[in-house]
Amino acid sequence: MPFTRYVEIGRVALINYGEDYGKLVVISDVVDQNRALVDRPDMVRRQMNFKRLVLTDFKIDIPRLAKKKVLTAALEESDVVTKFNDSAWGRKLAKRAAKASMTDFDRYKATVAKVTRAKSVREAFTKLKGNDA
Amino acid sequence: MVQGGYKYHQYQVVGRHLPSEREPEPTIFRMKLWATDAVRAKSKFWYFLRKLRKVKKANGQILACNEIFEKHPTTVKNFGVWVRYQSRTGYHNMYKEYRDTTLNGAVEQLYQEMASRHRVRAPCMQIIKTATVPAAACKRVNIKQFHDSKIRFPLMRRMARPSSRAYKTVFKAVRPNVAMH
Repeated sequence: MPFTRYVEIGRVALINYGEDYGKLVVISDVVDQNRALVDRPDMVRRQMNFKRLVLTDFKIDIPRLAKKKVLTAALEESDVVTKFNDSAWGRKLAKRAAKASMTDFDRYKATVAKVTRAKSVREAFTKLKGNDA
Repeated sequence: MVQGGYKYHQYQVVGRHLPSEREPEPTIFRMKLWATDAVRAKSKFWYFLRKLRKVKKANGQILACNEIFEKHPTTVKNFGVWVRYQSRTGYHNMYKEYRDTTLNGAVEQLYQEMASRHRVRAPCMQIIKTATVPAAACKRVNIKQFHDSKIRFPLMRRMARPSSRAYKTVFKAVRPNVAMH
């Protein structure tokens, strides 16, 4: 299969390591074969190793070393963040985050819900099967 | 803003010969050099100065020693570095180019590359000169290939890596999928 995601100016990438884990950044310039200059509206532009980035399908139209204003406008216009959050990958991340932030009581409630649901399914199933069982 | 975790920092050291009756206002020398701290920077200053001029630590004084920080640490520059180093055979001169956001980063790359390619230890190296080189004046092919505003290349051999050091393991039960493009 050919490559579908390329390192290029404006490519949206996800940080997969460190304190900024899970944040979306935009490639602003390529430093060398290992590093890119990445930017997002709420951080100081900095270089980051490609090993710590995962490229996404999205690309926004910005010039090299775009100013914050241009970057923010381009992100807003293309609506990339929402599109990513709506994608299967984004939904998976959101689900994972939601599960990780569950408290013990939340987990208890989830168990109860599951039990209740299974019970009603079982009842409906027995009814459909008839009384001869 | 703290600029990277660089081992070597850039310092400027200003010094001169001690004023005497015959020379009440001796020439002031300023040197920009890389050292791990200010104390070592001053030591390096005297090392270089006594090779270049008739001034040494015993008859000289330091007027200032400041760390120099990168003015624009958010843009990528091409840095040219002229370096002299001592190998097992003799002394060699070299010119190298690096792309980085800070000069300190380029010097860090230089030390790493000299250690790997030529097995040169840091104390054997002397940085003669550094410069920010405009794209048109760059010489090295590896640097020139990134001078493209429409640059586009895929990343190969991508692997799922642990999200933090805590999840790092030496042994894996399953071979990694290296074709996640």
